[in-house]
Amino acid sequence: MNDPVNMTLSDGCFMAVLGICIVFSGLVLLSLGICLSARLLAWWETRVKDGVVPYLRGALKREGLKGMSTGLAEQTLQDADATDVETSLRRLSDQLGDPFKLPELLRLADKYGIERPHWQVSQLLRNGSLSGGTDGLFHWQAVKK
Amino acid sequence: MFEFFDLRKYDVFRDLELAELWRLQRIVQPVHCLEGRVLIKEGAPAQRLYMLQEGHLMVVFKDDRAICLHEPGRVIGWSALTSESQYTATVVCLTDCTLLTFEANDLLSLLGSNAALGTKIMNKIARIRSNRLRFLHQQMTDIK
Repeated sequence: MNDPVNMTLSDGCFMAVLGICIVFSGLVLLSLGICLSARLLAWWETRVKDGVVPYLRGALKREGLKGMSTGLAEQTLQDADATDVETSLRRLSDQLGDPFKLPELLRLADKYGIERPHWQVSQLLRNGSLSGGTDGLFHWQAVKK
Repeated sequence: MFEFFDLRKYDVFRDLELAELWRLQRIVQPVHCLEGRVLIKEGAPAQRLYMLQEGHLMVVFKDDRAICLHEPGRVIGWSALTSESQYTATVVCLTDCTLLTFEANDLLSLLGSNAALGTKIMNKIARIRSNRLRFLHQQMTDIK
């Protein structure tokens, strides 16, 4: 039953070597994949932070929201397509008055589908387009020409 | 990796001796909070004191007035160190944030067992509280 001659006649050695090669190749490919996954995740995270992914998501979301009947929403969405998120947020804050309450603006931004409103607001605060007073209210800086 | 002498970077702990920093380090925990998440809910039991390391936070008061914080070392949730048992404002992360957190019970025990350390930290907390009162005073003036 375990005769080595039978094993030789049936190419048993070749099959054993082939099997070992297949298994080890699979393991090598798997380990390479695991090694590269860290880089792939880092790359993906960079894309997310750079705003490419949020921009794409926002664009898709805006496409989906275009059927909304609210005039303000349509106006906002057109602005988003034409210019950028800052313009949309400025438009949204128009109905809140000047100065306005930042949490209310964030709620509106969320309602009208602006992607990552908190992050967008933090960027606007950093670049000085939006500023807050000691009274807890916020206002826009004049648009730079 | 958080090192105990990193605490000295922050105004609240600047005057502390190395031994005092070492004691504090034993009760501090770094935490992460994601963008858009609520870190502190107004009215929730005040059990932790937070110190901002990195990120951008928005502190929202009862009438939706808000202030934004981004300077490392800013203290949040100081209600945990006073007789108040609940947080007095909501804190939301505008970006992903890293914070240091102190369990109120641990910190109060430490301050109670070391008078010099307690005095130094409570003086700083008093200064933060006076800034908050100035802000509230401004709010009341505006309402009038």
